[in-house]
Amino acid sequence: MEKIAIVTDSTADMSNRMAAEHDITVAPLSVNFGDQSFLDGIEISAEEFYKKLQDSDALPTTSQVSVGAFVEIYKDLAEQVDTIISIHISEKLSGTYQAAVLAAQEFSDVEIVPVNSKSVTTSLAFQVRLAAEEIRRGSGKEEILKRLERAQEQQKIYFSVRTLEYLEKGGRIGKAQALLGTLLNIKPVLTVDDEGYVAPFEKIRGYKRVIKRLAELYGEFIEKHGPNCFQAIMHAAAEDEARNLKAIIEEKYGPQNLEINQLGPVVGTHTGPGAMGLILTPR
Amino acid sequence: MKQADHTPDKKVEKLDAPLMKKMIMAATLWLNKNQAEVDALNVFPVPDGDTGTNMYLTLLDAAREVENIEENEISRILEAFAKGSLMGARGNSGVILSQVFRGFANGARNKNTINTREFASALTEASKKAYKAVMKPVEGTILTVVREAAMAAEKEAEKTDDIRQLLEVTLLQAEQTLDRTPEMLKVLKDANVVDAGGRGFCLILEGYLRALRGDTALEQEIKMVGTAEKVKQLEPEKLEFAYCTEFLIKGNEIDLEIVRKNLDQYGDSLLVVGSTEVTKVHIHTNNPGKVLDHGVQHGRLSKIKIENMEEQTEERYSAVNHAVEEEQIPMEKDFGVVAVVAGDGLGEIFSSLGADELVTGGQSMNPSTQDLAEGCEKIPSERIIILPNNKNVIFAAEQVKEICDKEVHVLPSCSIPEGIAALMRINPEESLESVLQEMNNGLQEIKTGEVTFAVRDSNVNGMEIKEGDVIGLYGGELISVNNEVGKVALELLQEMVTEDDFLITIYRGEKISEEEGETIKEELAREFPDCDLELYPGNQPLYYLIISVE
Repeated sequence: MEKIAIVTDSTADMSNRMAAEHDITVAPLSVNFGDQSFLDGIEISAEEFYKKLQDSDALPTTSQVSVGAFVEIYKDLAEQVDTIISIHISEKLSGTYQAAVLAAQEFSDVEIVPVNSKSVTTSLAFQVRLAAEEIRRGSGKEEILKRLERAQEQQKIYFSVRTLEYLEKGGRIGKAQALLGTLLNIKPVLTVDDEGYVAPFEKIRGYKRVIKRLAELYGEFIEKHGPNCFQAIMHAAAEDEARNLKAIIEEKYGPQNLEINQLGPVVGTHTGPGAMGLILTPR
Repeated sequence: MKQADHTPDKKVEKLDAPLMKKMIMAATLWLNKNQAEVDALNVFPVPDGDTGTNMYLTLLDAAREVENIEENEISRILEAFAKGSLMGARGNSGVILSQVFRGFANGARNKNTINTREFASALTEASKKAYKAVMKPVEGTILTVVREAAMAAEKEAEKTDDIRQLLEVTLLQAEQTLDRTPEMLKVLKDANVVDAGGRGFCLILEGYLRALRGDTALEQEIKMVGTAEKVKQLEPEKLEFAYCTEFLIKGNEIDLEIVRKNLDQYGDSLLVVGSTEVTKVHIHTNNPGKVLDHGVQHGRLSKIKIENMEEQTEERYSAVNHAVEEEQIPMEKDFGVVAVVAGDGLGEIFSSLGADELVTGGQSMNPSTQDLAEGCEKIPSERIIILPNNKNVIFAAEQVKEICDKEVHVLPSCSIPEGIAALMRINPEESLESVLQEMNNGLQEIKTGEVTFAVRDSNVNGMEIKEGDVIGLYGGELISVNNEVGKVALELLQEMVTEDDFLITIYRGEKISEEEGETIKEELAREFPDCDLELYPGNQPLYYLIISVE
């Protein structure tokens, strides 16, 4: 039988335990504070990152996974499997996918399929978990890729940020550019759109109304796709708000498996602290 | 560079492995020396311009790979160079560069040495490979520079067997092409820069040429340069100057030099770029107002953006105190918005939310149909939405349809908060029909209260009212009478707020100072702990407070 390995990157914000459980190789991006560079999730944890962010004057920057790092990872896996499916952060948000494509071209004895997830964080992790489920079920490459494509069409990310400044300074603001410069304290609900760009979904005023709206959006999604979904609330050092949102959703819709997770250092660099989002992918 | 190092008469008929190695080291060092200049060729005035750094670090990894091998064939050197650059590729520019070297190495496969013709054809291969690597090649970038340089090399190779001569001509063409990149790519032209990647490629060619000329100053050990310096540049000068101020000046014959001179005294990080018709200004200053004053002397201002760089909180309050108008002159909009507003603070808020034209008016001074029609005419758009923001203006607005040739829609907003709620719903990418539908939905979602004063004695709903009393109105109904603005606001809100409401917004009128407003806001915040409270200077006449609940 065809042996398939899955590779993703650290912007999936997958726990080590989860990665080990599903036999996933995670390529780390880096986050840089001044002249210090840390491998995402390996040399710096989310908690350490947000602490450091508070203490640091300069904003951190991030670096994609290099072609060389992918070549090393693929070389190791090539000895064990026939096919590598390498699922990564939206190419509109990072050069990591492109690096995977270039690295894949260096190999001829193993088939490497880089996949642009058009998403990020737990939404990317959900695709990885879907692929892992398919492998356990004995599915081949084609079936896995089809499954991922469907997830990409249906997945939704809705999030809000405390300020657009981080998205802007990091060059990830995408189509939400249009929201800059308004005088009222607008708390936009943002999304990652079909192409994988950050885009404005709705303009809302008042943070409490944002939370109310996120809960409504949860309801709309569940009504459309049914309750059997991967679902998570992600936050950047905003656990109280995340718990608040969870409580509202649970009271209204009563889901069993709504997780709360912290955004990792690389994604957190671009959202800034206080960001919170809802991540939904049908199974 | 020392003159004695020149060896101007010596011809170079072929490149061999040691010479190629020397050229690679020289190019790496030369790029390093000029890294900051390439970084500065950034089309966006945000601190993310690191093309020079990325290209240098890519080249540095490639050079290290070359340094470590002892080979006599040039093809082996170029192979190692290509491989090293791919492994070290950083950023888009680094990746494209690695493809250029990959193509060049492919073109020189199995060669011990290369002559002018072989050099030229390897460069042509390099150009092809680079184009292939990019999914959607864009002209006016490093791709164009490499391609035209390769064409010049092919032509010159027919005439000379001196590689140095060949490189001189190739470099000259590369630089000429580079100078033309702003004509090919609008973002470059707007920012008044040449393409950074293309500039990096020219520097590499120049490094090669310097090695051939024997520039010993460059024959040093390649130093590792960390990212520390880069990060130092990135740190914004936050503390000294607080406001990042940006705008466009549209005018005739704007003298960039004079603009620059005028503004230089107000802060740092000054950037004045563009053409004599459209000039972009970017400055960090403590006095954005003065900067705008100077700007407006040179033409119309547009796309004004002022940001407090120290401000991490959600409060955008301080920015409100500055005259900010965003997108005042929209071009080729699918539809435009005319809003009826009284008070400069409210006017600024409406403009910043995308209202194209403001017509002064409101409760006591209703604008005429003619005033509204003139507003519609001023907007460069054939389809107009009017926000009357007052019940008594809706009818006049409807009449505009009769006297204006444009397609006019009246959205029946009865208050300032309704107008704001409707504006918030506009998504410019949607059709006008669904925009109107959405705006209408916005009207339903907001409640409006007003605090003003009685103009004469009267008796309403059993409430005795004396001239000058402070009165509170909710949906046109008299709710509260008192002699204090804060008390009336409280009674009004007790009537308005339900458990489904989460936001109270207060627009203070011209008679209420910022301090008074803050005091009222704080009192109300205590009374309504489940709501967010926001206070803005509306500076409207007659109405002490306009309050919305949603």
